Amino acid sequence: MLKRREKRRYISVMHGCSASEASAAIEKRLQELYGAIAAERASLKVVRPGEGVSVLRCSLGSEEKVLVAIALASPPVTTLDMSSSAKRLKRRLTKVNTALLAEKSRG
Amino acid sequence: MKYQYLVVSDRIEDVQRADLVLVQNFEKAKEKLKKKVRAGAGLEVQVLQARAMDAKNAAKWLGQVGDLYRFCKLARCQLVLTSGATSQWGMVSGRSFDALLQECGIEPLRYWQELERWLESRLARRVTAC
Repeated sequence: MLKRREKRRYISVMHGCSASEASAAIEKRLQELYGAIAAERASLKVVRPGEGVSVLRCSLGSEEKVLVAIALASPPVTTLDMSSSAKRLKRRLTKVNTALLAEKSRG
Repeated sequence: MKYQYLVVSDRIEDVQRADLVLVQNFEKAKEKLKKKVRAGAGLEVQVLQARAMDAKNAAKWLGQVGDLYRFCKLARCQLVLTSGATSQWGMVSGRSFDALLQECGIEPLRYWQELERWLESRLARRVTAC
């Protein structure tokens, strides 16, 4: 039988704390609001931890719940972008960073 | 040069004078609002409040936002959901706002259209020359 990989959503987030703290805060809120089963189904994972900006992965269909959990997480975390592929998300993030750097050098 | 502005307040008592009034607890403020609110007023709810709450109160907050939206419909005023951010990390993205609105039982597209119309009508009244 053909076993297909579950589809995922990649979310880039901005945070003031460490990536692990941010991820733990989101997961805790997700579990508090929607329960352990929904949190398990979301299979939230940090795929690219970074200083200030990280990329999270969740299962397709639970992204709305994850977005609510991000909005209500403490310490605060902000969603930057969301995509169905990590590669595309990375490309978009690079574009934003380049634009910000250009703006900084001008100003 | 002309600048557009809004008059905001964090006191429910100012709802007749201000364009936008911050509602911290809708359950407590409901009776006061029923008596004092007039059509066209903006009622603000900040996501920042919910971030600091525990799970039970955060879930309650989501329900209250939905109730406030329905109250706004009846009283012909406008619900304004804001981040209340004090730092860049406290900001809320458009997608998260939409997800929050849906969770509160509010259709995002309709909400943004209503907000745009309300903002245009309020700003048209408040213009100052500097």
